[in-house]
Amino acid sequence: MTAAEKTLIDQFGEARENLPGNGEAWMDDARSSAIRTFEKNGLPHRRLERWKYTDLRAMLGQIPAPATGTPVSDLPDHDGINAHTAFASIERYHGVFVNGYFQPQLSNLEDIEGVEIVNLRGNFNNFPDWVKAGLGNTSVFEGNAVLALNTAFAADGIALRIKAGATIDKPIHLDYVTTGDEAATISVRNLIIVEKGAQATLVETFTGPRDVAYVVNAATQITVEEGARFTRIKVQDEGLDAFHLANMQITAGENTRCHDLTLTLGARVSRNEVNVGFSGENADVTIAGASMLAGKQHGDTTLCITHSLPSSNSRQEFKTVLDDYARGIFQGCVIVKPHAQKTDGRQMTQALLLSPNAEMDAKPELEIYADDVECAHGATAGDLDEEYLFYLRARGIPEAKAKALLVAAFVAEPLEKIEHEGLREGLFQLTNAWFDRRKGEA
Amino acid sequence: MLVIENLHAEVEGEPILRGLNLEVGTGEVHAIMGPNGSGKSTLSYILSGKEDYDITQGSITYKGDNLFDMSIDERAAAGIFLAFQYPIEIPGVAAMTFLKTALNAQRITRGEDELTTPAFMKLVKEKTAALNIRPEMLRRSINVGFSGGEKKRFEILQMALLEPSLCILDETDSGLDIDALQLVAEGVNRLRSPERSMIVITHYQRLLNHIIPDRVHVLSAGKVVRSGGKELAMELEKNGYAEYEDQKINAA
Ligand SMILES: Nc1ncnc2c1ncn2[C@@H]1O[C@H](COP(=O)(O)OP(=O)(O)O)[C@@H](O)[C@H]1O
Ligand SMILES: [Mg+2]
Repeated sequence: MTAAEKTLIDQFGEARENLPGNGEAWMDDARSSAIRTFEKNGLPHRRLERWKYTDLRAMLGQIPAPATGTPVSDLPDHDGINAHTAFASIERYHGVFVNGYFQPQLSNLEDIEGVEIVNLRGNFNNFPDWVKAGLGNTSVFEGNAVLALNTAFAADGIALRIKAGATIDKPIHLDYVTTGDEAATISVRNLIIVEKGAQATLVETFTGPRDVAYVVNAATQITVEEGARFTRIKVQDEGLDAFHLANMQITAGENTRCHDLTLTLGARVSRNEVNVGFSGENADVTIAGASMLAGKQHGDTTLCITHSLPSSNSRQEFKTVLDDYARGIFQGCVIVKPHAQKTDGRQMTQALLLSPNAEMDAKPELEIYADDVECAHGATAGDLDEEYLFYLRARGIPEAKAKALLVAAFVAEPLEKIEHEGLREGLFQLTNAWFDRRKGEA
Repeated sequence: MLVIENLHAEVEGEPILRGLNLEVGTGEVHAIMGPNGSGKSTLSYILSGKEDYDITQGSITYKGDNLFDMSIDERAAAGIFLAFQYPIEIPGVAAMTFLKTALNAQRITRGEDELTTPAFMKLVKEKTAALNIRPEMLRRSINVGFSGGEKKRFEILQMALLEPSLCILDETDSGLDIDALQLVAEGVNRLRSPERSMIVITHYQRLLNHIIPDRVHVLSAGKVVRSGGKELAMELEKNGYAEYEDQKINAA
């Protein structure tokens, strides 16, 4: 066991009794089982296929102590908080977390029509069954040490139930803000159920200070029931010394449409893992993203879509821009089980390398055990097209500005598919600004 | 406006321009004609600053300055505009964004104020109407999904917006039907002014019925082998380039 692993186990021993749900048998069981899984496997390392390029055992030398809640009196008001600004002007339901703790006084998530909200810091023994079933489901962290740590340490989070048939009129924005100059480990666990025929859009943004090596471990479990439509947009814009470790698990039901888009801009090391399963047929799932990395950033996107039932579509569409010494990783797998006939699964990953020292590792994987399926994957990597650059410059656009336009153009495709205009524009603002902003920061 | 003296240029050791001389005065329209492969596009690219060519001899002076001291975008801001023979498609960059960025970048380089969005939109509306360009087209990515004629008209639209001092049109007529040719020629003629010079590169005399040149030059094997008035274009139309193809063989 490494020193970091030992630290984590000790930290759990100390933190345990102050964690939400302590003393509730079902939660105690989930946490104990999670820490046992972690004790057995330790931090993921490069000899594990799924962690080949992101050796956490080597990278995560120091484990900061779990974040403690900031007293409310020390917090700024809603306008003073350094919340993520890209979506600030959009009509939305806003939920603010500070250092991993939900802040009701900074949020307006109360009384959204058609939504039941449960705060994990709330009264555990009164939790509805759907919350207990979700949080108590220990099978989700099988073989996933980061998710196991999340289950063990989760200090706060939100459970949202979008009620059957409800259409939520505005996006629900969960805004995770890290503050302070002391590094901490932040563990948040969210649970989302989109019931039959409901429609909702969730936005998650992550920001924090630069020069602080904090760690965010965020996990979101999402169940989309029959006929529901669900969109999630995540913007990972952590401080440039942070670790961002994220897990999302989506279960898509019959006739559902799920669209997930992650924009990765921040963190020194990030791992965005998305696993998709199906509980019904004819589902349509898109997992998309754009990563824009510079300096010595390391950004790992690892996806797995497992088609266990027939007749669903899945799309994976990722763009990565790398400058300086940045490293991008894309591991995408599509598994089609023997009974999952008429599956249509497509995957595309494209990288733009702005520097000879940048590195992209793309590892597509198709495992197909059914015969009547359509599956395809593609991976490309290249540098900026000189002909494009010449055309723009020949019209008087200076080189740096021309490059910025072309870089933003490269990642535009997945963003264009976001239907909500304000969110789409907010995303474009971020990608348009990246080229100039990165020079100041990286 | 433009003085080219004894210009020699090569690509990977292969000479393409071999002692080209050309002088274009302010307000003049010059046509450059010549067989395929004689170096017409190469000349236009060198003028706009494309970096694929080695200049081994000669000079280009533009408005009294050494053109080789200026970067691609500086040349554009100083008024050089090349309407490309083959306009490329750039996915992801909206045509409208591109036009606005280009116009304002040039204005900033020249020390002028940026145009406000309403002022820009008004200008675009005016220029698109004249060229029969549907405004929806500008919401698409640059040249993506444009027909051949639309691509050429989009080049002329850029020219009309940017109001350059030296317009270089590289075979803008190729691939256009008679109506499209007329539109493009009208667009070009509207831009004719005593302060603005033009180099109209074409393989056929057809375009020169609409854009009447002051001078016509024949380019062959990388140099100007003959110059004359607009009647030279007629003669070339009648006799073809056979005579000049021979010279190419001799020169090679
Ligand atoms: N980038 C290049 N690399 C290699 N050869 C080139 C390049 N550009 C032009 N050439 C060659 O130079 C000659 C002149 O080309 P070009 O200027 O396109 O002629 P034109 O426009 O008169 O038809 C041709 O033989 C062409 O193959
Ligand atoms: Mg040519």
